Formats: sequence, C-alpha cells, structure tokens
Amino acid sequence: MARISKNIKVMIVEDNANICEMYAITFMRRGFTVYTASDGRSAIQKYHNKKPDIILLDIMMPQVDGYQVLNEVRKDVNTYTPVIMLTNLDADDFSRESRLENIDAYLIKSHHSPREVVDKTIEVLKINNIAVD
Amino acid sequence: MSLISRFKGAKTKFAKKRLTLSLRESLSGAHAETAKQAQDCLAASHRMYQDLVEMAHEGITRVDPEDNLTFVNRQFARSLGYKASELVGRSVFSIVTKATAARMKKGTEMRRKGVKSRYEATLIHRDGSLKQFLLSASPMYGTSHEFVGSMGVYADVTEQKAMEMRLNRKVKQIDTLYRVYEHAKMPRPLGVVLNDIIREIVEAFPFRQFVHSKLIFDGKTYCYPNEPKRWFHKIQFPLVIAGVKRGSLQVGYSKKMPRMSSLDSFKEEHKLTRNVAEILCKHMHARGVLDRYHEIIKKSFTAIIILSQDKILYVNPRFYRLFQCKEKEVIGRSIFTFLPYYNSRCVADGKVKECKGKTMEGKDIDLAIITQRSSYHGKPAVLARINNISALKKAQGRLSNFNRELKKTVKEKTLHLEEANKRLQSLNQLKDEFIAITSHELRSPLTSIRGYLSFLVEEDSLSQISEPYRDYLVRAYSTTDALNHLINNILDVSRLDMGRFHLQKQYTDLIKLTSNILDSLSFQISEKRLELEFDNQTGHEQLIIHIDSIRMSQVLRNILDNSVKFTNRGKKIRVTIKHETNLVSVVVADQGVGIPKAKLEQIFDKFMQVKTTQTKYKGGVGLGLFIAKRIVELHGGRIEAAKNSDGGTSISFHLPLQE
Repeated sequence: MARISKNIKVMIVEDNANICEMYAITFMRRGFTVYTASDGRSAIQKYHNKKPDIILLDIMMPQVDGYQVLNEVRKDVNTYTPVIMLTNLDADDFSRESRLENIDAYLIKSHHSPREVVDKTIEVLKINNIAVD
Repeated sequence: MSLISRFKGAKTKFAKKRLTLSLRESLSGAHAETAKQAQDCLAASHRMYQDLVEMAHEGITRVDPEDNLTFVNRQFARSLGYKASELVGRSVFSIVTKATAARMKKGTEMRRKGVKSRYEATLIHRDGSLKQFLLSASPMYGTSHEFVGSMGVYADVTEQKAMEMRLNRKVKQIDTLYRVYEHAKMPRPLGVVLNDIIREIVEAFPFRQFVHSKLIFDGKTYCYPNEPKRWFHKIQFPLVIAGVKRGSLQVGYSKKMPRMSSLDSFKEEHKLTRNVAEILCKHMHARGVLDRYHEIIKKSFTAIIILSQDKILYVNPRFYRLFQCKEKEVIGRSIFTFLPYYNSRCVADGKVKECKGKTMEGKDIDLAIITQRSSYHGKPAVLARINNISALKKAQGRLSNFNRELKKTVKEKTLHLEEANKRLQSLNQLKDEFIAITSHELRSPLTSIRGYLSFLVEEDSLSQISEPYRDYLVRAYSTTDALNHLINNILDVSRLDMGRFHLQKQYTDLIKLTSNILDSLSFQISEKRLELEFDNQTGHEQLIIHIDSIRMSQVLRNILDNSVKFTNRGKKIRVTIKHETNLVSVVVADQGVGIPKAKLEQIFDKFMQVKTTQTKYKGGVGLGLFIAKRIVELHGGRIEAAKNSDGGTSISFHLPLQE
C-alpha cells in the first residue's frame, strides 16, 4: 500500500460524528492530514484557515448546507480546491441545486466503503497533480 | 302669275284698238286708201296678237255662255294631248273631272255677274291621266255689254302639285319621325310606347286607310289597327339590339290599289321605316340599360341619397325602409331630419364614416355613410350612400361583452391554474424532499454499519478474530451489500413512480463500462464457480455513446445480478455487445433455470418474481428488471427477454446511436 505524503491536507465535512470519524480514521491510516468540520459554517471557516488540498463534502447539514460550502469554495478564484461530494443523496438531487461540473467526483456513502473513498480521493488528487507517492 | 297679268294687259289694249278702229271707220268710211292702210295695219296687229296667244306658255280658251269651247290655243290642246281643232266646239265639261265641272259651273254663274274667278282645275288628258291647272277665268262682254262667254287662262301646275304632294309626304314623315322620337323619350311602359309608335308610323304612309303596322318584340306582337289577312307592299326591318335580333317592324297594306305602283316603290317609306326601326333599337337599348340601373338602385340594400345644400333631392326605395317614411315626407326635407349628426362641412371624400340616424318614428339607428361629390340635373350635389350597421354594432357590442366575460373567466381560471400549479410545484418539491430525506435517512445508518464492518473484514483485523465469529462478520458485511442494493432499488422505483427520475447523460465508452461491471462481479462469479464470457462483436476497442453512465451500469448490474442469482453452479453466462447500423445491442445469455414462455413478458413488471419448483426464494423484491427496463426506455431504447435453446434466458437491450 502506497503511503501518501503527510503534506496532503484533507478536509472532511460531515455532520454525523460516527461517519466523520470513520472516514477520518481511514484517511489518517493512509497518512493524510485530516481536518473535520461538522457543519457548513465551520467548514467555510476551516477552508479559509487551513487551506486543505481536497475537500470531501456532505450535503445535508444543519444551517449551512453543502451547496453553500461548495459555492464559497468555488468563489475563490485564486486557488482551485478539488471537491468530492460524499453524501447519501443521489446525483439527481444534487444536480437540481448545483452542477456536476463544479465538483471533481460524486460518491454515495452507502455504496462506497471507506477504502474505496480514499482510493477515489487519491485518483482525483492525481488528476489535479497534487498527490505525491 | 306674271304671265297672266301680261296677258291681261295685252287683252285690254287689244279691246281698245278695236274700239278706236270702228270709230274711225264710221267717221271717214269713204277714204278707201286710208281704210286699206287701216285694214293692213289691223291685220298685222291681229297676226301679232294671234301669235302672242298661240306662243303663250299658258293654255288660253274661250267659251260661250253654254261653256262650249270656241277657242283654244295650241298650248292648251297640246297639254291635254289633242289638236286645237279637235277641241273647239266641245263642251269644256267633257275634258274636266266631275269635281272641276261642278266648280266651273259655279264659276260661270259668278262670271255672268261679272266676277272673275280663280281656282284649281283638274283636266283629263287624252290618255286618261289627270292634269292639274290653275285656272283664271274672266267674263267677256259683247258690244252692248252683254255676257258673251268667258276667257280662261290655264297654267299647268301638275308638276308643282306633285312636288307639293311629295313635300307633304316628306313633312308627314318627318313629323312622324319626330313624334316617334317623342314617344321614345317619354318614360312610359314599354307596351304603351310601342303601341304609340306603330300608330304614328301609319300616319306617314299614303293610302292611310289601308295601312297596317305590326311590331314583334321579345315574342310579343303589337298591331295597328289590326293584323291584315294579306300583306301588300310590306316593308320590314329587324330590331337588332346589342347584336341580338329581338324582333321586327313591319308596315304594309291590306289592299292592293292600282295607283300604289306609281309611288316609286315606297322609297321614302322604306327610309322612314328603317329610321323608326333604328330609333326603336336605340330606345330599347337605352331602356334596357336604364332598367338595369333602375333595378340596381331600387333593389340595393344601400340607401342612396342625393343632396344639395343639405336638402334631399332624391332617395332610393331602400331609404324609405331604412328610415320608415314615405316618399312625400322625404323629398325637399333637410338631411338633418334623418341624420341629426350629419356634418355638411365634412369632406365628401368617399370614405366610410359612422353616424347615428333617426327614423321617422324617432328610433336611433347606427349607420355607415359614404359621401361623394356628384351632380344632379347639372348642378353640384352630394351623393350619399347609407348602410344600416345596427345589427353589426349590436353584434360588436355582444362580442365585446363576450370578450370581457371571456377575459374575466380566463383570468379567474388562470388564477386557479396558477394556484394549482403552485400546489403541484410544492407537491413536487415535497416529493423531491421526501425522496432525498428518505435516501439520506436510510443510507446514513447503513453507511456507518458498512463502513465500520469494512474495517473489521480487512485482513489485518480479520486475522485477529477467531472462528466462527470471523464467518459471522463476513456474512454480516455481505448482507449489508444486499441491503444497500435493495434501498437503492426502492428509492429508484419511487423516483420513477413520482416522475422525478432524470438522466445525466455524457459520452461514455460502453465497452469499458460493461467490462468494469463484469470485473466488479468477479467475487460472486468465482464464489459460484460460474463461467463468464465477454464477446465484443463490434470490432472496435471503444464504443462511445451518449448515455447516463451510472444508470446504464445499474441496468447491466441488475440484469447480471439476476443471471448470477438464477444460474446454477458451474454454468456459463455470456455477455455480447453488437454494433448495428444505428443500434447498440447488449445481450446477456445465461444457462439458468429459465423462464416459462408465458411469463417472459411479465418479468419486467414491478415486484415480479417467477416462482417455479426450481426457483426457491432467492432474495430481492423483484425491482431490478423493472428499473432496468425503465432506464433503457428513458434512453429511447428497448429491452426484451427470450428463452434460449439450451433452456436458459437471454435478456437483450438495444440503445439508439443517434438522438
């Protein structure tokens, strides 16, 4: 299993603590630096403070939802941060509010095991020339 | 005239001479030489006067008191075709007509009283023809002033008379023509005019009592005084109007008179009849045109008025009906009686204006009026045409009312529809939210269960767990897969049922997509020891088509899941991709338990599972093929099932290449 440089910062935005922890564990085991946010507002704050390399973003969250976070991230024209939607909503529901072109991948939590999520994240990072083996 | 006076003069001189001679004779009878001289002189004078009488152009006669001719000059005898000697001694009555004889007898009586007379006498030529003379007769007296006879001077006026007659005929004809014209001009019924004309025309003909005229026009016959049994000297002309023969004019005699033939074959009458026929033709033509116009104006649905200085000069019958009035109430009245809002200063420009009118009964009517400059009997006038548009106005009113109502109703309905639409939209939103929340709420716990179990089934952890707990764990983990699949299917079906299922199409390589699916199935395949064959018959490594890749994977996955589920250990599943002209076909053929032919159609129905003795309950709720069918159909394709020759089932779906 290829170890990933600790310099890669992953932000997981997820309101369900169980699930959030599950992904955090998996990413940390694979050597990523992990930031977590349990709602949209803290996610936006952490995006500005921590400058993560990639964001895994849930949609249905209290107060500020995933769409608003995505809009905020995409507003930043200086840096392009890859965003992977990690949610239990279908892509159909997502495309009613936003566009698939705005994101790098769309994963349904219940379909993909944590390991598959990490694999996909690495794939996206490679596409964006961020990941280093 | 001058001849007669000259003759009169000569006669007086002659009488005086004789008187002087007899005086001289009695005074100096002895003087023989002188007497001889005188006698010579007398003879010369006698000869001279005799010559004068014989050479005269007038006929000169002398009759005794019993009206026997005692002298006729040569001219007189010649003009009647006799010699002078044949006439002398005959009674003058033998060579005159009866009427003249009567007149002459009367003249003789007058002359006895010393009165001269002058009249027209008709004498009979030797060949029987009549000759007209102007006779001047004067009494002659003897020496003792007794009446010794009369002297007559006959001036031949036969030609003059004939001329006069011809002139009279001509005048008559012209007169007739004039009267025919007059008749033709008068606005009277056609029958009256034609009757008058045929009556007039006979007046111009000689032998008036035997003349008949007949006119045939448009099948009707007019005769005056009646139609003779036989026609003599008939003159006939056709009546041709605008190139169509519509009748004829005939004039002729009912009797043949011997003297008719002398009338140079009715040349003048011919001309007259032709002229009358021409007048008739022109009249008929004009009458036809006039009748036509009259009819148009009379029957017109437009009221026509001629005005001068706002006074009505003429109206057509329609006007009376429109304004419910009588003719005498209209002519000469002011137009404002009928059109109170008529603007006399407005330009007669021939444009339609709308105007209110008032009938005699005081009812208001809506009118459309067109005024134009015109003339009436040579004076400037205004021609106005009026149409009743009351019904139109009423209809317009009703229409606009109706429109208003309609608009109101439409507005109300639109409002209702908008509300209904809003309700529907919110309902749709609710549906979307329901599906979204349901999927979220169902999947969240599953995510945790699956995620954490996945940590445990990883090899490092699994090795630390002892049997049989390890097996329990693996079973639990694989069951979560089934649960995940079931939840996804249920969510898709509700999306399809609610009409909230949308495709996200992109260009995708179908071959790669299919082989990926087959790879992901390798676990189940190897577990069941099935043989899987992928047959790419397209001849290409890639087949890019415009589809929703996630949903198409689902279709393949659902079909293959079924095949794997119902195919027994060690059997074969074959997946074939074919490329036809504008279709891509994917066939999944298995050697499974097979489906009875009768049920083949139903396997795509919702919650359908074929239950036979061979198929025990294998899990699932029977949604996979239903969803697959609906997704294929949303792509514009079709899906079908067939029984294989070896007993298995093949499911094939076809997607169109072009949209």
